[in-house]
Amino acid sequence: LLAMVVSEAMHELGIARSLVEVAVAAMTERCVTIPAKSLQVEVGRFTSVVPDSLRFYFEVLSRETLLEGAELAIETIPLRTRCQKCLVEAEPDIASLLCPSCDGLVEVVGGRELRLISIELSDEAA
Amino acid sequence: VIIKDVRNILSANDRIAVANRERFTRWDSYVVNLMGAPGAGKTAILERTIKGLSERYRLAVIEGDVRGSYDRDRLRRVADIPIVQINTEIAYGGECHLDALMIANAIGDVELPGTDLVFIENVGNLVCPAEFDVGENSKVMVASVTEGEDKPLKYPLMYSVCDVLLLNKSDIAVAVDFDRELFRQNCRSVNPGLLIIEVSARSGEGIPAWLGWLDRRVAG
Repeated sequence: LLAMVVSEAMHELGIARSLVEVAVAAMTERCVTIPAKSLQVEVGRFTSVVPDSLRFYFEVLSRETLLEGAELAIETIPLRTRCQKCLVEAEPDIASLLCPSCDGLVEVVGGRELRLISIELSDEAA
Repeated sequence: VIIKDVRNILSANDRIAVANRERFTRWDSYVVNLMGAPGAGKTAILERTIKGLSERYRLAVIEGDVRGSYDRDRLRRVADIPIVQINTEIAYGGECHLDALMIANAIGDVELPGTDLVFIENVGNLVCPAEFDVGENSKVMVASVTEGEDKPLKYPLMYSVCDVLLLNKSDIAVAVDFDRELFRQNCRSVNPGLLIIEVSARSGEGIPAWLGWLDRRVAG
C-alpha cells in the first residue's frame, strides 16, 4: 500500500499528513481516547488541494490512529476578494484577481483556507 | 461530542518555515525560492546566476528533485559553492514540492554564516510548491515562452504568490508565436504587482536585470 501511495504521490499527501497530526494533537491535548466519527475541514477554492485526493490520503494515513475510519467532511470556501480602491467585495472567477467593478487591485479575503474546524467523536463517548 | 478547535492544517509547516527564516536571517542570507514547470529553465538560469555572482557574493544552493542529482552536478561545474541535494523520493514519499521540514533537514546542523544568497530550486511543478512556505524571502518563478500565454490563468495560485517572474527563452519568442502582451495581461489579472523580467538563459539577454534585482535584495 505504501508503494502505491509513493507512486501516486501528490501534495495532498503532505497536507493529509499535517491534518492527521493537528487532529491527533487536538485530541491528545484533551486526553480524548475515543475514536473520531468525523472531521470538519475547510478547503479554500484558491488552494491547490483536490478534496477527493485529500480524502484518499487521509484514509490511508489515519489508520491505527483515533481518526481511523472517520469521515472527512470538507466544506469548500469560495474565493472572495475585496478591492483596495473601491472596497467592492466579489467572488470572482478563480482566474481573475482584478476588481470586477473598477479593475483595481484586490486583496484575497477568502479562499486560501486549509483549516480543521472541529472533530466529532463517536457515540461510545456517551 | 464535538471538539471545536480551529487549526490551520499547515501550521506545522509554517512554524518550521519561521524557524528556517530566522536561521537564514542569522546567516545574514537572502533566500530565493525558485519555482516553475519542468523544462522552464530554472537550472539554466541558476547556472547563469552563479556564474554572474559567485565572485561577488557567497552563494549556496538547495536543490530539490524527486530523484537524481543531475541539477547539482550541472551547478558543480559552474562554481565551487555549497550545494545540498534533496531527493523527495528517498524520505518524503516522492513529494512533488519542497516543504519547510525538508529544508530544515537539508541544512541540518550546517551553519553557513555570511552566505549572501541562498537559492532553493524547487521541484519542477506549477501546482504544489505554491502552497508551501519554506522560509524564503522571495518566491521567484521561471516561466518560458514555449509554455504559452494561458498558463497564468491555468495555474493562478502559483502566478499569484510570486514576487518576480523570469520569462525565459525570450530569444525564441517570435519563433513560437508568443504573444507578450497577452501573457502580461494574463499575469496582471492574477497578480497585478508581479515584476516580469524577460531573460534568455541561452543568450544571456536580460540576465543583468535579474542580477541587478538580486544585488538590491542583498544590499537590503
